[in-house]
Amino acid sequence: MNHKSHPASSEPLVCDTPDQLARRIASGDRLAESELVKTYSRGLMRMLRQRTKDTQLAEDLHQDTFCVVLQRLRSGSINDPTRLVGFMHQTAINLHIAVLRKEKRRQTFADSDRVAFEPDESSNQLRALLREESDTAVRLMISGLRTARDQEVLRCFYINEQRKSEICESLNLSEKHFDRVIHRARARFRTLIEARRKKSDEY
Amino acid sequence: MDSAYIEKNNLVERYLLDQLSEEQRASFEQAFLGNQELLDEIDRAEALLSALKRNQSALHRELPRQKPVFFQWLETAWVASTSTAVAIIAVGYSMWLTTTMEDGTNAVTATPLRYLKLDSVRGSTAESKVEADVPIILQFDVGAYTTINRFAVQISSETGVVAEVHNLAADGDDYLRVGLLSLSAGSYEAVLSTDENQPKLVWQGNLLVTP
Repeated sequence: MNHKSHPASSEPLVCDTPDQLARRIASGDRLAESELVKTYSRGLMRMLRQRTKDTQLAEDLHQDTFCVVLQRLRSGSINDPTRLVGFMHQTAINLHIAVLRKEKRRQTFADSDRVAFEPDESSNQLRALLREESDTAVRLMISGLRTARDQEVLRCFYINEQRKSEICESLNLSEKHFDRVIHRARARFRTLIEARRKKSDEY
Repeated sequence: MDSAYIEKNNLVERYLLDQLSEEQRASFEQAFLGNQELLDEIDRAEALLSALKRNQSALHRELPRQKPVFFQWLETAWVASTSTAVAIIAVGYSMWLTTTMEDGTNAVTATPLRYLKLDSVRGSTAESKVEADVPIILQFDVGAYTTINRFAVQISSETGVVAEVHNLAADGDDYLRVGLLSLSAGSYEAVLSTDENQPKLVWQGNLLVTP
């Protein structure tokens, strides 16, 4: 799930505020540039993956965004350094929009050959392991659900991708109840995953 | 955008499911951009989402058909307190009730069993009374009775009401905290009713506390 070149854990990162970082970079501090990348790389990649649905494109945009942001910071041409996060975010969106426009002009279509050359996910052992771990946890979580209606809530929300209001109305549920089912499912899933990881760490 | 707001509005899942407006999406993205903890949460939610999609057949399995078990009442813990110490002692008891709720007349078809032994909470002392803060987990499992989804529970002793809770969900867990109940051996009356302007009695019975 986490891209290899991006920090994957929640270990504490930089303490500098965005504007402190921006000022340090403007004054030529190369270490501050690394800190900027370390702090925002993972989040930027996450948003780009979500928006593009294409890991390769997200990678490219991620790289380009940092190039633009760092250049602007080095030249001190960002008017309001406190808005660094907003600037970075907007830069990523603008670059993505530019790609979409370019693609539209090219009138590209799905490349069926490319699909055939997509790497087999199962060949990635770590990914397969994580997937198996999640699958086991989710099956255990489902088996622990108390009622058919709780199952239905999860199915409607996660599988059918229905909206909360719609689900509550069709199942005659309060929002509080809906939240409770989702919260429990998430908490149970997390506990199961962490327990499995702890167990495998012991071995 | 704080974590309570994110949780309350299911922003993590709605983001992954592309259910946010562009404005909400942009705000949420700016909130997580440098927030490793929130990113961890998003990763977990994505893992859950993907695993559920891969295992969706498990969501369609037939749940074991239960006898119309209507009301389970599990007491999981007592927090017995004194002026100097707090002891946490786990005890368990449960009560079951079979019901034919759909006929709308007499919901109760069998008398549930529920009792609690004071011995299990007072340790080796010979006290016949326990001052306790009693968290009780109520589990409702109404199966087909989905037309009623709000309940109220009242527990009374001879001296009056000792606990009352409203707005209980039909199949949710709720904690009913019987605050510093001077619990002596004896009989307490428990009433389960629908939580509405004109409550309908669902079940009524005794909670028996034995020495």
